[in-house]
Amino acid sequence: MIPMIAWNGPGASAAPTVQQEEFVVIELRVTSARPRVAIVDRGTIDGLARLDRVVFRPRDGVPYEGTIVRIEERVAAVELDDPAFVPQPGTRGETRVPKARLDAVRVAPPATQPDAAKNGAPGAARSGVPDHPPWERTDDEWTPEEPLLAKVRPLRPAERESRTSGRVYTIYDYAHSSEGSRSDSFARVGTDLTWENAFGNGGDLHVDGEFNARSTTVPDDDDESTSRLRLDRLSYSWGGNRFQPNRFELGRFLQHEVPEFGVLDGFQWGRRLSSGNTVGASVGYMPEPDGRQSTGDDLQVAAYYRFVADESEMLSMLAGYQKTFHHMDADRDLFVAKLLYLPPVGWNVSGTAWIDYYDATDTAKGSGFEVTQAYLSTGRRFDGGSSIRFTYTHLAFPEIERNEFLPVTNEQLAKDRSDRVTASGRQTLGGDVAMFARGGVWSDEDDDGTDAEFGLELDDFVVRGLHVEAAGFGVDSRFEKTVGWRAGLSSTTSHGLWRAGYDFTLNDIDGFTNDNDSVPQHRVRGSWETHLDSGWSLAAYGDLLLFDNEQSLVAGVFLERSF
Amino acid sequence: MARLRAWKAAALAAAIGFLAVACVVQGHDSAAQRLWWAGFGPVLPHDTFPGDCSLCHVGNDWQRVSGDFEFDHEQETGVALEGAHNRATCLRCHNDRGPVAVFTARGCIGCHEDVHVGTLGAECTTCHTQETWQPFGQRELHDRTRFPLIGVHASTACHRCHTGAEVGRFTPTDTECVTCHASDLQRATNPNHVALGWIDRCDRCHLPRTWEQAEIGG
Repeated sequence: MIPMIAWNGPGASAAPTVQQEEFVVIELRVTSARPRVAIVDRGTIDGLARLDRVVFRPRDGVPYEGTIVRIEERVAAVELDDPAFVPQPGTRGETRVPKARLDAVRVAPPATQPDAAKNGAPGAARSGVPDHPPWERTDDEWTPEEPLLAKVRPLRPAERESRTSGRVYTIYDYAHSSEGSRSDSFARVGTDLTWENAFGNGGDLHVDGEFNARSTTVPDDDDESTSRLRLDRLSYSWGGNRFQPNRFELGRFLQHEVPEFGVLDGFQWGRRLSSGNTVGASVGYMPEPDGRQSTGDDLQVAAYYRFVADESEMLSMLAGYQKTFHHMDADRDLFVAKLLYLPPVGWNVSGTAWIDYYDATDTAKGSGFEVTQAYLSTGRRFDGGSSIRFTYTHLAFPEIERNEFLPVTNEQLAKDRSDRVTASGRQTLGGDVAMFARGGVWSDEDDDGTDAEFGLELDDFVVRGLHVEAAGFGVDSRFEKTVGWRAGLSSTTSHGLWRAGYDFTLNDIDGFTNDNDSVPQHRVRGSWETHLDSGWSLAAYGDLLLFDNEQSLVAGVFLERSF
Repeated sequence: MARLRAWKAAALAAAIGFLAVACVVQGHDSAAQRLWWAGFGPVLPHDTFPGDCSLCHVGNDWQRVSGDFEFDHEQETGVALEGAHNRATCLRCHNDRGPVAVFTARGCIGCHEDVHVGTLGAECTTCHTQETWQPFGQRELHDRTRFPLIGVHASTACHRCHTGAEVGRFTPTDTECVTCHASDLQRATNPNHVALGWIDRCDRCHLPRTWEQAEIGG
């Protein structure tokens, strides 16, 4: 669309004795430029003429001017006043055109059919144009200010070219402890692929899996060695786009919109209503949430409703219900409630509650509702990089038959819980300095405690690009009290991102009064990572820990190709 | 019990019924195409682009961009793309599911699956950068929990305590020693811990810095 703003030029009002001439502002764009000359995308058909003045407004805010020296129907060459200014393609500009001139170039289209042709006069036959029935298609809702292709029919997903995107990666981690030569090595090769429009009907095929090989050497026990192919996702999804309000997914996948319901081997349906709200349901088996991911023990059916306040979806709420069956016996009644409020400016809020319903068969918990897990967080970011956030979490074991955790006793089910409130903030102090602080209070069934941390960040420290961070902290935890400090630096160079750091902690073990109840611990860490335009990422990292007379080393490499 | 069984059957029937009804009604109440976030415009808004289409497109196929296509997302849109986002193809974010503004407003979870199933919140950048999915700073984060990692715990693979770690699930995890060290308890025969009834409160005698040594508490 050609934006046009009717405007009475100030020059007219400055000369009241002269008849006021009305101008129209024509916006234009630079399509190419070289020193002294810029080509713009407007010409005589837009009312421009040679010697018209043009003002360019690049993003730096400084206006530059020029004069049209050559002009054709749809393009014009502008000689720039400032020879040092070479505008980027796309730079906006404008020129003022007398309305009378613009009206003159906008001549009415010729009559559609000369009388002679309309009357079937021999003139039509002479021109060689055969007679045809009346046109049946009506005009599009097109206006003269609109580009011809503005209402071009967009491609449907099924018409798009099939393509694959995702990543493949490999990771190797090694940990060694000097005590008893305990070691653990872990190698992974994985992929995460999406094949868009895989079968020509607009759907997507998703594959996400890993091959894991682990070897653990344990003192005074048999060594462990396992290898396992893990399939996190193998599913086909279709719909759920601007052409199809229904979304379907079949296979193994993490449930859409409600990941709290977990991974499913089954089918999910969701529908976006005309109000923007979404309703959905799913049925299928739930793989065990561990490395084996065996399936077939736990069946689930679930449904959810997601409410959005408006088109921007700044405020959304979701309520869902999941019923599970362990070996076909009724197991869990789980309700999930979610809230998300994400305004562009101001405080944002996100929260999720997992609410279990128990009946008389749930002996450890008793009948009724229980919030077994909750997460509530609110915070905001300020201009300049400062931020503040408060978070509350609550955890308890749900009474379920599903093998989701390590064995839990009835006593643990009845009383184990953990509640935690944390606050964190970051304040820029001007220039390249910022301070940050974190604090938390926790409480569980046996104990309570606190933690606090305060630190400083410095950018461009000593040399440009060097980031330095230092912090002191203290923790009153379940089994010990810890004080310590850490310092780290990082820098991004042409060879990648480098990080190095040192931590010291002094841990005072609760319940011991002898001299051996203090465990000083030193930790040195470093890492390097780089990313190439070809899509390759490479990282290496190491972590050395010294405590008592022992030490342990953790090291690893990571290689990824994304496409 | 009979009432309970009936209730369970009713719950299952209700859920299956919901699915059936959902499938039946799915053909109606279509969201008209023009009402689908119409205010946000097309998939890839072009209104700020140069008027010369050939700067980006090849002439005989508007669905393809030319080989030397470059687009400064920050300069053109005011939104900087960092890390892997800067290397992604446009259609990874701007696609038929709807306007990208809605999804970016939700943060990371607007586009990325939450493999932690909501348990770790929406602040993904606490553990992840925009470069890769490799997490960082786990040790420092763990130091702020009620169970800081001391001694051998600091070099122990996560999955030894968090059984769901390989699939991104870390909670809930019990901090009682015996939860993870049940097999060590069974092997402790000198003296025989189980026979003596020493089956909990390991921290009365053992320090968490080593696997083997017992220390005498005060």
